[in-house]
Amino acid sequence: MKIGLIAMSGVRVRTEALGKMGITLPGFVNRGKVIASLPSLGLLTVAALTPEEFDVEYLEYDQLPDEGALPDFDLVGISSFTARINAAYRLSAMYRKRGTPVVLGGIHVALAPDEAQANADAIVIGGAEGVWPQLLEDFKNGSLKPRYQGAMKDVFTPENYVFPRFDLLEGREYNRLTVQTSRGCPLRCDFCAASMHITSSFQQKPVELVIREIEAAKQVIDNPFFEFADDNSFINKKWSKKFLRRLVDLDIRWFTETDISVAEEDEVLDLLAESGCRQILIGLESPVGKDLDGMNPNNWKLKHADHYLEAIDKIQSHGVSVNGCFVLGLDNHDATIFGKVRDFVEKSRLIEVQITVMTPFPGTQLYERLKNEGRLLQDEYWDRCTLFDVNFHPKHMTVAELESGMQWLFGELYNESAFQNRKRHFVNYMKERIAI
Amino acid sequence: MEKYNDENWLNNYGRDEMNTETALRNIISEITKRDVSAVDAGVDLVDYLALDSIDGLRLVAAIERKMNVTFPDETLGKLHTIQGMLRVLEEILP
Repeated sequence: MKIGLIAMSGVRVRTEALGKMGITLPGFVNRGKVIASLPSLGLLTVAALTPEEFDVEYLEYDQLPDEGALPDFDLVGISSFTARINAAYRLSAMYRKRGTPVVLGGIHVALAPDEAQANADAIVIGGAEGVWPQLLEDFKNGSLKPRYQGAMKDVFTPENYVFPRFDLLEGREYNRLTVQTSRGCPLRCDFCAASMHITSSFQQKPVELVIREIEAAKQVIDNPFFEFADDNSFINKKWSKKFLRRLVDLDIRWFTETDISVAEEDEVLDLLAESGCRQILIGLESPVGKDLDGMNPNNWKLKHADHYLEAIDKIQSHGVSVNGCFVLGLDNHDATIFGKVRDFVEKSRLIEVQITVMTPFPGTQLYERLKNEGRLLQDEYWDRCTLFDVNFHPKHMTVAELESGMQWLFGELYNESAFQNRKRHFVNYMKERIAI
Repeated sequence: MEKYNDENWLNNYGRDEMNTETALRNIISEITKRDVSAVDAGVDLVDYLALDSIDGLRLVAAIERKMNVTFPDETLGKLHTIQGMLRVLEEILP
């Protein structure tokens, strides 16, 4: 029996003006391109959970032929996030029309399971660990159920953990690979879809398992760049130091997402640089501390906001670049926020900046709140969940003000001159660290 | 533009014994940990060595530090070949 696992990656901004800017401003689409070129770690894990009696093929949606030439499988698994879920539903319909059963999984399925279930023969909610082998057994017996609940905790314990099938990528053109060191994030920001719906608690993989995965991935792709598929890699400093010390010997280059507390320990920063960390992405969210009030249950981000500038300088002076992320359209933001972000970026000398618009993903606290307040532009707008398209009425701005302010800010931050200034600053940081 | 430091150059790269191109190739090999001594000077190093934008800036920092030069800001992140780097170095080395 043959199973096709199809990954949906990449997004296309819907707002026309932003789409045009992406073509003309360096840096605007860089991160998007990178994300689009990453293989799906989730599906490589599903492949690993598949018993040997099945043949597994891993495919990227964007490389599929037209409907008439779609490859034949006995069962198809599709993983998608919200922005491309409608395309995933269309693909599902094509296979189901041929009589091929389709299983849907991924973050959007966890966020909107009822909707997903109507578009598939079966869905998997949460991680596939603990449930995929049973699903296949049911499929073989002709008794596929409409809904399977995957593991929400203990995914890295011996009972549930599997080694992702990096070997399926052999001979492909990937130069970046993902490895997961943790699942979830304890900060629980109200706009975050991932941390609350793919796991019931923050889970960290034992260091030795991560190291083994990296070593295996290096056997498949020559000199890959690693992205840790985490929401917050270094919240646990004890684990972080143990992990980074082991990473130093592997001679790799890597990127991850974490929070600003990474700057609190010099040893962690030294180890980041020594172990080949090229960049960390940090959700700063807003340059104004009070804007972060209420974002987390214990106001973690608000408490750390006063140290942003000092922390960014400290991290970058260790030779690790920071990609600072800001969310525009928070409830405390008015039309002055765009200038404040521009000024903060200039002052902080962040090497890279990511500007997104607050996005109420289905199933999040933010979605429920805005829906109850009558502030959603539409109840369903999944193809606009790109992080760049506005889907709600901001509290202290009009939709048009938010859209035009964001476009102005893009122009300010991503123009050639601003980009050059940030690059020059980072080169100067690095020069101080290079031994002659 | 910083002044070329002859002493620094001699100490580290033996200008008497190697030309600018050899010195440049040595720095690139050292920083990227990949031997580029025989790579065609016109090859796009970003593709060939799978460098990302930060790698490129680290490389520039190393060249600037070790050769005691400063690349013009407008070239940062845009010099993808040994040939291109040499062209700029010819301009900024005395």
